[in-house]
Amino acid sequence: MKDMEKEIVRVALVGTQRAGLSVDAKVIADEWELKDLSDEETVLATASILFRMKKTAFQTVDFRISNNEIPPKNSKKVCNTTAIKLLNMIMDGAFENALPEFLFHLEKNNKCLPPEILPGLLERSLSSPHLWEQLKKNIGERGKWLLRQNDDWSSLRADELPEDWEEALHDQRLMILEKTRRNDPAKAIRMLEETWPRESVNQKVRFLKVLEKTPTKDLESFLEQCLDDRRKEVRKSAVRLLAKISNSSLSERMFERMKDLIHIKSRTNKKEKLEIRLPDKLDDAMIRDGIDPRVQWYKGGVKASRLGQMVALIQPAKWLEYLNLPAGDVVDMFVRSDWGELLIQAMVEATALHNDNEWTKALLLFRITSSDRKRWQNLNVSRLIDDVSDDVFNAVAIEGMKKQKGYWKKILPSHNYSNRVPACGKMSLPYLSSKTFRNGWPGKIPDIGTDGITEPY
Amino acid sequence: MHWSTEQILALAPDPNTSKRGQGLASSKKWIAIETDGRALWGMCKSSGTAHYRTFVDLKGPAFKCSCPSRKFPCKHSIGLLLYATSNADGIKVAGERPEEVDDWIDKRDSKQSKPENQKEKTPEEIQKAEARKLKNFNDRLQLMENGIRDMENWLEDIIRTGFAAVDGSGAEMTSSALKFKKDTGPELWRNISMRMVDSKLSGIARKIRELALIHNVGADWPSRMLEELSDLYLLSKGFGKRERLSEELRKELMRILGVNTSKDELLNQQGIPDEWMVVGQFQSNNIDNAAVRRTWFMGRNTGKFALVLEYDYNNQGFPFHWPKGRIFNGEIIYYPSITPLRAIMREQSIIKDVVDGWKGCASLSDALRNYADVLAVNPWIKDYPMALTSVIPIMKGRTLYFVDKDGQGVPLLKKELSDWKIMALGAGNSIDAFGEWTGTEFNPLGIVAEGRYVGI
Repeated sequence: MKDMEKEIVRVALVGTQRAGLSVDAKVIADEWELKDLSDEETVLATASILFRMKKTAFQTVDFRISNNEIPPKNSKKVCNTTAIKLLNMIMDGAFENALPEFLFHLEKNNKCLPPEILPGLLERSLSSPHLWEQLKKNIGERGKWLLRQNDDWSSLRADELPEDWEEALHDQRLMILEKTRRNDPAKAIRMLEETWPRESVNQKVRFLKVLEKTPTKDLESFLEQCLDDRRKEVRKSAVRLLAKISNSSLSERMFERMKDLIHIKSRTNKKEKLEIRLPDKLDDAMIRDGIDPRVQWYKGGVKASRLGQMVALIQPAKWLEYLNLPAGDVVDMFVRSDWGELLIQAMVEATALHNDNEWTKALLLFRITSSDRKRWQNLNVSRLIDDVSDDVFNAVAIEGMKKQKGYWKKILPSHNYSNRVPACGKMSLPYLSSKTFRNGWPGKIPDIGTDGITEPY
Repeated sequence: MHWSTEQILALAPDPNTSKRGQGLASSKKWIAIETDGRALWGMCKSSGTAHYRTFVDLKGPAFKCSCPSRKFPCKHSIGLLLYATSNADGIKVAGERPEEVDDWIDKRDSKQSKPENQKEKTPEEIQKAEARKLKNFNDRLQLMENGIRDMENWLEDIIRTGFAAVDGSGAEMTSSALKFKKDTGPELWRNISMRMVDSKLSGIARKIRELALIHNVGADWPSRMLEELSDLYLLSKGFGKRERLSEELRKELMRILGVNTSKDELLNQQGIPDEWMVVGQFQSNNIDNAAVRRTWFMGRNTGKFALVLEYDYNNQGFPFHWPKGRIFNGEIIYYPSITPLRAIMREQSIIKDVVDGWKGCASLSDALRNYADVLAVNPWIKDYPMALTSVIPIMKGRTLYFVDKDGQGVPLLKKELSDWKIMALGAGNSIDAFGEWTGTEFNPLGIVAEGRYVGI
């Protein structure tokens, strides 16, 4: 039946005018008495029978649940329904800053969290070590059990890690590195340097990924050594990480090279324009710094691709300094240049890498308000939105809605704006700008005293 | 007034209204609060010169307020009821209701009860009305037949061209009869959907609009798209052979196509009284300025399921608030169908108890067999309610399963964090679950773990 389903889906996808039904499928259709029908009707009629058969003949999956691990019961009682209601409000963003206070009183009153809240809190703890420090005292046996079920939360299990860094399992080593990097950054680098020559390529890349969470200057000399690694994957990860480090020497070197290629050209009675020269050849130092001579990064050709790679590795803030303009004007200058698409695409890469708020705002505003939709239709800015602050997001969304009603939603992925703007899909513009935006954002914490929290237990 | 603070707060549409409502539950905020046992009314001091007139029908409770709030019930309604329940002895009992309150209560009663006191019609008038009704219906059938023919042509065109060619950049629809060449991207769905509306096939129109949400979304979209199109095909064939269908199945078919039974007609029918538990609820995306809320009820004594569908047009709010996990005393009246599920509720009032479990199916094989039986009777059934008891949530790979006592499991519809919520609630132990069975996956909407209901 599965083959038959595949067959009719294939025909429906390609179209009967290009692909006919196979002989086997026709035989089955005949058996089902689907005769004297056009090919299109045969596909539709077969599908309608097949999908119903699939539903009526649904097969359950066999489980052996004898090994099902059941955590011991919590010694503490779950807090009462009023407290759960408050906690839900906190989790929904209404009183976000009251969460530590809630957890404090929970522990003080010898109560534990309702289980359904645990996943949300564990998820938040991944990006907030402080929250995790407080939360782990309140998750109870059930929380510890739950933690073991989801690998995405493995970094929170760092407390259970073995002492020996070299002997630990692969995943555990990542957790040990992350934990050590958090508590004693210099020790983490020493640990890595000791075992680095013996590590596999994949493990090296994974370690570098862990280090990406704390891209600080102290990593530089270690990463510079990684630029000479035999394997390209390791060199590539090291370049990315070095570029992320604020004012790293790699970023500086790249910027110095860029200054030779891009200049401001003054023009009488006209706006200043950028004069851009593409890099003719690559020296070894540039290749070491991560510029791939062969990669076709941009449709304009290999040389243009090299320029794009260089721009993508430079800290976006450097441009403001170099051109002495705010980000919005730099975007405008880039757009007017002979390599507008290339530069803007590279700036999106650089901005995503450095998570630069000012540049994010400038690029999103440009994307949303640009009247030349055709020229920029392939410019994907959605990756900039994931980490953007609410302030920037609001400013961009408001601007987008004012200028081009509806169009902004096509550019910003829906999951983002629906989370941030509670009713943006429903309300008319005047209401949105005057009320929802002012009152609707999370983060404004009303005064909620200790009594307000303590009482419900 | 037998409600607890918690019950009243559960009626608030959001935490803010609940909080502000509590702030208004003070004598300083109100003037002339009175009750006659059936209704409660009062005037709330506003920041301006006018006072808001707030009424509560204690039979529901149902609310009305003259404030401009778009939330329902508003903070004034919540505040008034909170104040009245906590100061029941201090509320003045009025001999009669003010005219405005009386009108409102009358209107509610007449809406809820069977139409009475209608002027007797003469036999000629009845005959005329019947003839007019029949003519209207026949005219509508003619329109529907034309629309169904259009849809069949459209379906065949899509299959002939192939889904892959139907996209925003330009479909290759070349049917001479329908001139599809202009219909590309979103227009493709919108135009045919509008033609279906013109042909009085609103049910089909909605289904076609929803196809736009499937097209090119997810890896398995071609399969889901074909399934939906084949459903439309089956509807068209069913319509062509409607005379050969049983009366109930024909009614079901007509309902799906868009021939609705009016609420007034339903109110004339016998309802099923029970204590109806709100076992699941979810709101679907906004399509054409209307958010749809599906609320599933399960009879505490009868074990019957009922689905109340409500629409929020232009953000006006839903007509009633059904808090998840609460129980309502009332009568369910089903829309005519061979497998009655969609319903309205009459004379509902919230009771003190909360949902702490249900008599569900302990064997997944039985539950699936039951679903297969229903599908055999009604081939157009989509998501079917399923109440399970004593199932254990188990994560296998990235998919969550409910596993019954016999070790048989069914996969759950992926819902990101909700999967882990269910895992946390179960923690290796058995739980009760309510949800919709899609035919291949269980879409969880409510869980009872350790005697406590949690909405998913």
